[in-house]
Amino acid sequence: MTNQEVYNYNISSSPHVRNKISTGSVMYDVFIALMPVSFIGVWRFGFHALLVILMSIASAVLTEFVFDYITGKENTIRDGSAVVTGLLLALCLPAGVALYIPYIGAVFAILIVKCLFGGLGKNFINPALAGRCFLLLSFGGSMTRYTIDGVTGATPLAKLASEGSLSANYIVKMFTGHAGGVIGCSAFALLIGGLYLWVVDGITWQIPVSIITSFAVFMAIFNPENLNLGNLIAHIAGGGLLMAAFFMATDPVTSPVTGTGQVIYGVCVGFLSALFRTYGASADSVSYAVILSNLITPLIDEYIVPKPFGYRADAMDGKGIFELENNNNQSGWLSNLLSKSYGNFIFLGSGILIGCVILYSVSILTGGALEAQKLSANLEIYQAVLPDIDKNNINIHEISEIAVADFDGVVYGADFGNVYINQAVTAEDGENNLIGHVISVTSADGNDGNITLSVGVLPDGSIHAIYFTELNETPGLGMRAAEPEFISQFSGLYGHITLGEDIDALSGATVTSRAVVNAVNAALDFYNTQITQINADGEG
Amino acid sequence: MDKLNQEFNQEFNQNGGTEKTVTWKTLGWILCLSPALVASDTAIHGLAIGIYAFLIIALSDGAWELKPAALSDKVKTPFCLICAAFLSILASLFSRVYLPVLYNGVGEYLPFLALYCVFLMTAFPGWDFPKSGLDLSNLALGFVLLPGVCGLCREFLGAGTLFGFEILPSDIEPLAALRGVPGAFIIPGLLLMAVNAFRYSYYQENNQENQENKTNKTSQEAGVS
Repeated sequence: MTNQEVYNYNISSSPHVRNKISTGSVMYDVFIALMPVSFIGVWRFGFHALLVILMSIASAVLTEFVFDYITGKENTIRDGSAVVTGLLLALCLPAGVALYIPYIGAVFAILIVKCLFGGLGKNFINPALAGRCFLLLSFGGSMTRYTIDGVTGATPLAKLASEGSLSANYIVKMFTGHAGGVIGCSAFALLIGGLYLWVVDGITWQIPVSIITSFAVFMAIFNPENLNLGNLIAHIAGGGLLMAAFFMATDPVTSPVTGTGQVIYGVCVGFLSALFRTYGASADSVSYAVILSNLITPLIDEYIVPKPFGYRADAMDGKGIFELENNNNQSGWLSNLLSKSYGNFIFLGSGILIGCVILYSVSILTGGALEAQKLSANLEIYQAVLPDIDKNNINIHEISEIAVADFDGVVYGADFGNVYINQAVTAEDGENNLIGHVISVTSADGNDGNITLSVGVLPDGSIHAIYFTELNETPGLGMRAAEPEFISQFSGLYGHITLGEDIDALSGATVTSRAVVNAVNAALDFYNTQITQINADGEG
Repeated sequence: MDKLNQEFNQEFNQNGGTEKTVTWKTLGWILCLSPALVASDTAIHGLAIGIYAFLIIALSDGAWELKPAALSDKVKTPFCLICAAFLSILASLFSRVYLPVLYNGVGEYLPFLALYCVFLMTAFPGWDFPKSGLDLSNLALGFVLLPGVCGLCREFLGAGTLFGFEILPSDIEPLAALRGVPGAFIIPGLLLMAVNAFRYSYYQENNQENQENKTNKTSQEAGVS
């Protein structure tokens, strides 16, 4: 044979029959499966949605290209995984977001979650979901503003939470994508895409089926209201569950290898999704559930090993599946110490005892100073909310016996959201003339946590001033509630305050404004019902 | 530094290399570091945590030097653990009263500082050597730097302020996720990546020089280009 003829024979080792499948072809299938959702999303939400999708895909591909170029690695954008990640991320965003948001999300997802951990096949959580969670934490306002036809509206799940049930008409709308939500919200298109992906062997059936069924079961368990079929279907169709079930959780890198493992993984995702959606406070429950389950996937793979070809059960006897990184040499200092003479023990034991004594005495000594500090801090608050307070000439009586004790730790009233009355005091000057009352109230409905404020109420029932004692909202948005322009609006109001009429909300911080107004209303209501009653009954 | 690199590589390969990089030991390290890093929300908090840590470590090491001579060196770890716990609670009690502004931001993490200090004390090479004043100042620089730089980055990227002053114009939204707890793990990871890259390139340079010297010598001896 001439050299030329030799070169015509492909000399390699087995296997000689290969599947056409490659990373590129799988990604291509996923991309095709996402086309129905994208089309319906763009058709429904307009041109800006298309821009968001294109921006996300472009920045994902660009980030991967730049990273591969800078680190001198082989360029991997041809396998299409960056494109799919970008598209998935875009489909999780509301349609009206500014264009820097998909850019930052895609950069975070590709650069930090995928490339820095080793590239394709080595990410430890789903990059698209991680990007979405990062954006949700960073730009909470923009990410939760959903517009339908240019009008900001509530998502289907928010509607379900506030109304208790949805009309069948509305549920059908969720399926066709006419209800509000993220770009990829049409449940019908997602189902079609998922079905297509299963038919072409892009995903296995175990994960989506186990996620959806376990989610339904656990939602019914956690909240018996959900046994209504309409509610259940609404919960499944909304909130990104179908997208996660078919496209996010099924990412082969971060899901288990075996079928049984996948079922366990799916049950875990469903359980956590139901848990977070029922009891969680975040806007997005399924993302965190999938991410957490991705983290336990290696554990599942460790225990549920695929059967090797030619496996015989008795051949593996005596060999452990899971060997801990055994700290064999760490019978170390502790056992050595204990086996020695008790001199060391006495030394350490006495050190502990002396330390405890010193700490106890210090805590007692500083306790007094702490009380004095709290008192002076309280006086500052009272000075801020009531007029004419002279530090030396003041009597403070705490109204705790009857009124506040009833409401301690319990949500006050029904119209104010999650408000709690902390404390109410009467302020009288040296001659026992009533200056006013100060009511400290907390609203748990703030954007980033609790908002605690003190309301100073004059004897005629009107507010003198309010003062924030706990405000941890978004800087520049919700934190502007502490500025004098916002606070001064409350002075002189009484009765029931309406947001928008009596008070101008903070622009871009409606959640904070509403929480503050609810808290003040609760304080006023408390004053009008409880305190006037006490005053009418005599000193309580 | 070469020896440290060799030991690290050895342990890295023994533990499975890139497949199982997060061993239980690394997990323990990360957990020990996390309170100090989570507490470093802003640059000032980070510096404060670093200074607390330095004081606790310096005092524990100093107290160890005062031990009775009959004690063996194996008692150092539990003794410093006790000292760190004691001093961290003491620090918490004092700052509750005398540094209330700091306590509002950092107070809930001060008792966990013991973990951080014990980790630094035991993982620091030079654990068994008596320390001079210069060693202590090096400790100070190092232990203040990690939470401090972490706090700086988290504050700037996550809230647009530096030491409390608004630097970023108000219409640019900062990445608030970095200011919260996720940032406490992302930012130090990236910092460590940068530091390792620098160390690696420096190491490569040194190695390069050695290799060049060798090839120069051999080509001269052999007289072949």
